[in-house]
Amino acid sequence: MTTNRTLHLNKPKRDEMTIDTRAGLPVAARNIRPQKRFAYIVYPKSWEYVNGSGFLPVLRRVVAMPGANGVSRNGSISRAVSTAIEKGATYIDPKDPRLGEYMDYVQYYDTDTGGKWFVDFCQKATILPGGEILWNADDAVEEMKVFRRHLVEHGIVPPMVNEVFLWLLNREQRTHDNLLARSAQNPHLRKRADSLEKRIESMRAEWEKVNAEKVSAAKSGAGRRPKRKTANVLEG
Amino acid sequence: MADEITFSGLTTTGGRVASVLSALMLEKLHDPTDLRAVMTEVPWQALGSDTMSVTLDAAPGAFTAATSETSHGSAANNAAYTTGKFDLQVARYVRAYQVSDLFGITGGPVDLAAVVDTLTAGVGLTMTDLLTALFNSVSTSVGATTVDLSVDTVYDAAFSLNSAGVVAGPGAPLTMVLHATQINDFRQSLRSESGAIQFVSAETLATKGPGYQGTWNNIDIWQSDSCPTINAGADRSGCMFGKGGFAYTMAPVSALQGHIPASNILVDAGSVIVEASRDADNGLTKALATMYPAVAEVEDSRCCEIVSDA
Repeated sequence: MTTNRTLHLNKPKRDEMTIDTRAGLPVAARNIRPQKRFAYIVYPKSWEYVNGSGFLPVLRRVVAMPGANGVSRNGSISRAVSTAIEKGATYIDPKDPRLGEYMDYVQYYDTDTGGKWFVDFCQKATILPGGEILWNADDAVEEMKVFRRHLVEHGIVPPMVNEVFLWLLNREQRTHDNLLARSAQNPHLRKRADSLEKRIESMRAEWEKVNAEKVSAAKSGAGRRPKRKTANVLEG
Repeated sequence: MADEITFSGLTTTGGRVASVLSALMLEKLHDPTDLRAVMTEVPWQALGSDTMSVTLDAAPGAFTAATSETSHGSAANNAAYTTGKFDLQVARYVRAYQVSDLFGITGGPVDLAAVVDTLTAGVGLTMTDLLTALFNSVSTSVGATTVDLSVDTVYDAAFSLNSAGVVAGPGAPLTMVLHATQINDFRQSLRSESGAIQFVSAETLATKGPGYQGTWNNIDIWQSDSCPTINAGADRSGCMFGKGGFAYTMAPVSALQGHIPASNILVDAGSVIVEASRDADNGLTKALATMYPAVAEVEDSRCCEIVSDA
C-alpha cells in the first residue's frame, strides 16, 4: 500500500544468521570420518620412558565400532575387552572411582551431521573459518602424561616390572648399536645415536632412582618363576 | 550501431544462460583405499547367530624322544592340543541418500544412478575403517610417540614379526598400512639411507587396488587416511602384519531379497544391497544401501602396531 507521507527508516534489524551458524565439528564438507567411542587398555609391555616424566604406561584403545573384533551391533565392547584381557591387557574402566577427576574419560564433541566425535578428555579443537580442524596436540600430550602417571600412582595399572624395563632398555640399546654401526656410512646417524645414548643413561638413572625397591623385589621374586631343575646331560 | 546480438543481452532476455553443467563429471577428492585385499575372507554361514567363531587349529609340535628301548618315560604322555578361535560378529551398516522428484526431472550428470554408484563405492571404505580401528588394540607396538616414522622403525616392526614367527616370503609378503603422514616420513627417512635400499613404487607393479603404494623389502605398503590418531592426537596408528593377521566376512544381503519387493532393489551386489524407498507425498526417493560386515584380529602375534608422529 502506498502512502503520501515521507517515511524515515533508521533502525535496521540485525540479521544474526548472515551466512550460517556452525554447531559441532565440521565433518560433512571435508568427508572426515569422526573418531569412534573407545576405552583404554594397557598391555604389560606397553611402557615407555618419557623424558622428564619417567616410565609411563602406553594407553591403547579398544574401539567401539560394531562388527570390529566382536563389538556388538549396539556398540558393546565387552567381548573386545575380554579378548584384550586374555592377551594380558588391563582394562581402564571409565567408571573406576580411583580415576578421580578422570572418571568418565570417554568424551566427545558433537559434529555438524548430528554425530559424535570421541576424543581424549584433554583434546580441544579449533575450527578455522574454512572448516579445517586444528587440535591442541602439544598441550594435550602434556595432560595425558599427568593422566598416565595418575593411573600408576593409584594402582589402576600395575607397576612396570624389572623384566619389562630390561626389555625396553635392551630394545633401545639395540637401536643405538645399530645406529652407531651405520654411522660410518651415514654420519647424520651419529647424532641420533648420541641422543639415544643419553636417553639410555636417563632410563637407567630413572629406574634406579624411582624403582630401586621394586628392582630388588623383582630380583628376589624368583619364587614366582618356574623352578629350573638341574639336568643330567649325559644320562638324560 | 544498434541491436547487436550480444551474450550479455541474451543472458538477460533468456537466449543464453549464465552457465551449464558439463557432461564430464570429476570425482571429489577422497581416499578410496579398500583394504579387503590384505585380509583373509571368511565366507559367512547363516546358521542361527550373528556371530561366527572361526577355529584356529593347534600348531604341530616336535616329537619327544623315549628314554629307553622299553620305556617312554614321559615322552608318550598326552600333549596338549591347544586350539584357538576368533569371532566375527556382523553388524548392520547403512548409508542413504534421498533425492527429490525435481532433482530427477531437471536432469544433469548427477542422477540417481550416480548416487547409487557413490553408495556402493562406500563399501570398501567401511571395511577399511573396520580394519584400521583394530590397529591400536594390537598388543605389540614399535615406534615412539611424537617421533617421525623412520626406516629403523619399519625394520623394528619387521624384525618383531619375524621373531614372533611371522616369516615373510615371496608368496606371502608382510603388509604395512600407514597414514599419509607416516608414508611421507618413511619416504623422507629412505632418502637419507645409504646402500641398495629401494622402494619399488606401485607404478612399476601390477596394481593391487586403491591405496596400494608399492613394495619395500618384501613389505607391501598401503596408505589410508583411516589410520586413527592416538595419544591425544599426537600420533598416528599404523600396522604391519603377516598373512592371516586379520580376517573379514560380509554376510550376503542377497538373503534379504525375500524381504524387499523386487522392484525396489536398485543394486544387489551380494554383500551390499541398495533399495529404493519412495515417499510419494513429499516427492522424495531414498536410495538406502545396507551391508553386514565384520572384521577381527585373527592372531595377535601376527600383527605389530606402528606408532609415529601425526
